[in-house]
Amino acid sequence: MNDITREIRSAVAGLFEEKRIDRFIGHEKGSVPPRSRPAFLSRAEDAERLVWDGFCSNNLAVYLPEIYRRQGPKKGNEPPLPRTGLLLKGCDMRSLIALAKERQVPRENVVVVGVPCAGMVSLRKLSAAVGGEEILDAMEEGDGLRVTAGVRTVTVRREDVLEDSCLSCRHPVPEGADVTIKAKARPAGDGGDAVVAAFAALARTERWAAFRVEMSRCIRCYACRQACPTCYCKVCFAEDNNPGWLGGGSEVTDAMLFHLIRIYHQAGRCVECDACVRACPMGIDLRTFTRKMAADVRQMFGFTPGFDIKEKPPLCTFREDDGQAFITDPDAKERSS
Amino acid sequence: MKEAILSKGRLEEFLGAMGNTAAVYAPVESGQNIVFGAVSGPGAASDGVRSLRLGASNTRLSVKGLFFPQREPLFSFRDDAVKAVAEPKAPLVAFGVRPCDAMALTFLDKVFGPARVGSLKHEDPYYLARRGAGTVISLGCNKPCSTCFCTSVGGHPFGIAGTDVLATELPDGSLLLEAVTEKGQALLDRHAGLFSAPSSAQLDDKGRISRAAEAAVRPVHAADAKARADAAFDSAVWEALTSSCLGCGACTFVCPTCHCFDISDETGGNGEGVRLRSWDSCQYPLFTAHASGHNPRPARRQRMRQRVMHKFSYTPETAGMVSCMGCGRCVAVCPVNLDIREIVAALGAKP
Amino acid sequence: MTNPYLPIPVTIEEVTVENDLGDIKTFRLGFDRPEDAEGFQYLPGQFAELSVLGTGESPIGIASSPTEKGHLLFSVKRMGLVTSELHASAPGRKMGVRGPMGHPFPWDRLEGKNVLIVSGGFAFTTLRSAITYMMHDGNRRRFGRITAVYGAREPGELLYKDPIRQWQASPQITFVPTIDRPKDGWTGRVGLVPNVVKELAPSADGTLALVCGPPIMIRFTIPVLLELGFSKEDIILSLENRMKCGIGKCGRCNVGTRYVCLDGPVFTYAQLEKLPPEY
Repeated sequence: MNDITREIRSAVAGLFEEKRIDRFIGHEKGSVPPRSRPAFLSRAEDAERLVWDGFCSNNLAVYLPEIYRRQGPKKGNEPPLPRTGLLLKGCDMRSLIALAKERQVPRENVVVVGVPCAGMVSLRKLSAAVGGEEILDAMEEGDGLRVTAGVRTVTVRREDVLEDSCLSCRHPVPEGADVTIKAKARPAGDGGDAVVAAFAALARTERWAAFRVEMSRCIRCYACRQACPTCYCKVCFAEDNNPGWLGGGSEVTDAMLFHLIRIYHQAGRCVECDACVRACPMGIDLRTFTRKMAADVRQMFGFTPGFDIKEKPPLCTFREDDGQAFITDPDAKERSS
Repeated sequence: MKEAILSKGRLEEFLGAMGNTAAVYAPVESGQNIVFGAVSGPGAASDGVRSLRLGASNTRLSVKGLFFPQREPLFSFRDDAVKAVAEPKAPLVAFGVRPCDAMALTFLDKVFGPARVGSLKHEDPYYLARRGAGTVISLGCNKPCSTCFCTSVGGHPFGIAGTDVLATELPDGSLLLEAVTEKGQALLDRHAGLFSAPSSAQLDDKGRISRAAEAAVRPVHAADAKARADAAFDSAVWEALTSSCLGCGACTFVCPTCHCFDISDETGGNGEGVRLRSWDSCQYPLFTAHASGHNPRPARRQRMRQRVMHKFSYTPETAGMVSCMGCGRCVAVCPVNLDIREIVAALGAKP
Repeated sequence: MTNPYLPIPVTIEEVTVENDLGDIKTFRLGFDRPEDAEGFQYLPGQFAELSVLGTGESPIGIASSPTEKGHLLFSVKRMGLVTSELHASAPGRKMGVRGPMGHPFPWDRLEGKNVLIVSGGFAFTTLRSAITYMMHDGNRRRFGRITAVYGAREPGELLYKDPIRQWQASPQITFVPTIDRPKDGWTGRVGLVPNVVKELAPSADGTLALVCGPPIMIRFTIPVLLELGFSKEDIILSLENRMKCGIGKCGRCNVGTRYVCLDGPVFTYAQLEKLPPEY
């Protein structure tokens, strides 16, 4: 067990003993090696289940909207809201801030145990690194992983198998955590700017074609939406039938419309944690598109979500000096970006 | 002949030959995944057989999509009148179907076949037409993976339920083909020129491979699952086991037996339109929501419980079989690593 | 094989507003093809999927009795997309019907029995079918005493006011409409349905009870019936559930081992007790 795990267990047990939380959501070892998975704890003794390793990629902020969703109009006699402890990385923390900003989660009811993040391992990359053989075990050792797959055991470099989102992560430290665990964060990356720039450099028709190819694989399972912490609408636009905005089947134009709208609904709210990418059973490259949108928001509105609870999000803010070139001269943007 | 050998290197030829009379589907690459795609015949690229990928343990999506498509038009209409009814009858061959997926088809045959109740006979003409026009060539699993558990739910890595021909990859690189049904026999007869008779050594090989595969499938405690599940219906174990569920529906979509669907109308606004059905999931909160606002299963744990109960308790009674095939896809695909094997094993266990 | 997804073409012949609120209308539908009219053999208690091409379908209980030949009656409450479209429709509009679906009331068991009908609000629709069927000349002698309690919030919300007047005047049935609270102009019974049943105290001897109403009415009526001596097998209920295909394929109305559209919508209380409470 590494030091970080030890410190997390002790901190969480302490939170229960001090009665600062009613429940804690962290990570435990999963049933399919080498995965870790969300763990829901209700007592100090449960803290022994917690682990911290390179497989704790789930963004646990996703559980908060459901916990704090009001079931009906306020009557004034509701029981006090539960206090939830949560283990968050840099990206996860920003999801929490975004949710608190949108009044979906009362920040004061959440106790954050934050872990400066060294990056999470991509299961797809790890599998490719061992030739697609089924992984039976993966032990982290310093900068490497000792992986047992099939009959072989090989060592791979962590850097070679990290998630793309982690390689380019700009904010690995959860800022504003209530308890910060001693851990070394990755150096900040370029936020995927290179990928976005390469995509933006394509002609508009090529971008559309690339988008269409990815969307042709979509089976409309909505795993992406459910894994996203800032997708919390009780009835998603895609499932509304009055009006029926789009069809429910996997017809590619419906899939394109669903993802276009979902991604744009995330403007100024998506923290680029890639939970949607990991959740997708079809391995669709959503990352290129979510990052393009987030980069556009940065460029047009100078806004990066998830740091300042009080800062108004661009989707619901109008300033008189907001640019209008995209209406008056849409191709101008095409040429310059 | 009932058993035939397709020598090493002739598989592409066989797939191509079948493409003369049917649309042939087999595992192919699609982005980062392996799914069923057209390799020869109508709908396939001219060199479609090159895209065949048989190395993966299983396709990401099951074969059910060939007989029960994700999106299927039922009929078109115009100005308040039905215009044309979809009648799928193009012959198709599904090659490389794992025995778990083939057995799943026997379950779907019961669902979409004549309803089991008294004199109410309802048959789903769309599914049944595709099944009738379809031939299944399954491929036994020489190397089951760690998430497979077919043997614990009445299946076998070389099982023959639901298939017309069972294929086995032999150590010498050839493919042993065994006809299971008359339809499968007819297919082998049609292409007899490509085959030779198997030697007894080859038949022995198959037996050995099959037994080794069976031993390699990890057992799951699914014995008495129905009794345990029924007894545990109101147990707090459901909350404990499913609290991390995201309600994403990925499990139901990759599952070879999940068959829930929605029916909706789409119009072009000019009086023309189509009524179609598309996959739906009991994991979605809107699935059971009444127009009045009442929801029989408002909580995620109730919806996940429904999924497990349906597969391990209800269908044994209504269809005479557990409807989990042990293919392990839901385990592999779940974003939070919910594991149906753990859930079934935990039912009835002391807390 | 017949395609159970194809709607039978019908035309709206007449639209009647049933209640003061105006959100419940009865549609009289005529079959476009005589062979469809002959083929649509149903019994009270069954339902059908009303189809509006371009909008969708809605499962609605059949309000007409098979003794009323040549047309079908459906009473529809305006709740969502399809029902709103129906409410906006005028006679002459073409639409579709898929059915009949589900199991009817257990007419083989009701033969020779006394029948107690307990109903509230909008759920009364299939009981109009049942009562009309039993009261029909050729049928009445097949059944014993018929007693019906039908409650609504207010007099204006009672459905089928003309048939109710006829039934109240008939010696062949004891028909007791009731409203929740006293209202000017109402000289009839006042009281919640379960209480009225308790007061009337009908005998459970040789009697089957058909109970159709909102969940809360059912919840309070069952104990009253059990106390009156009705066995769980003799209390017959009709369930509602979210439905789509209506033929037991799409899985939506699945409750335990049953499909409400296929095994139901009529269940005995004994059968319901064995099902998970997910309806």
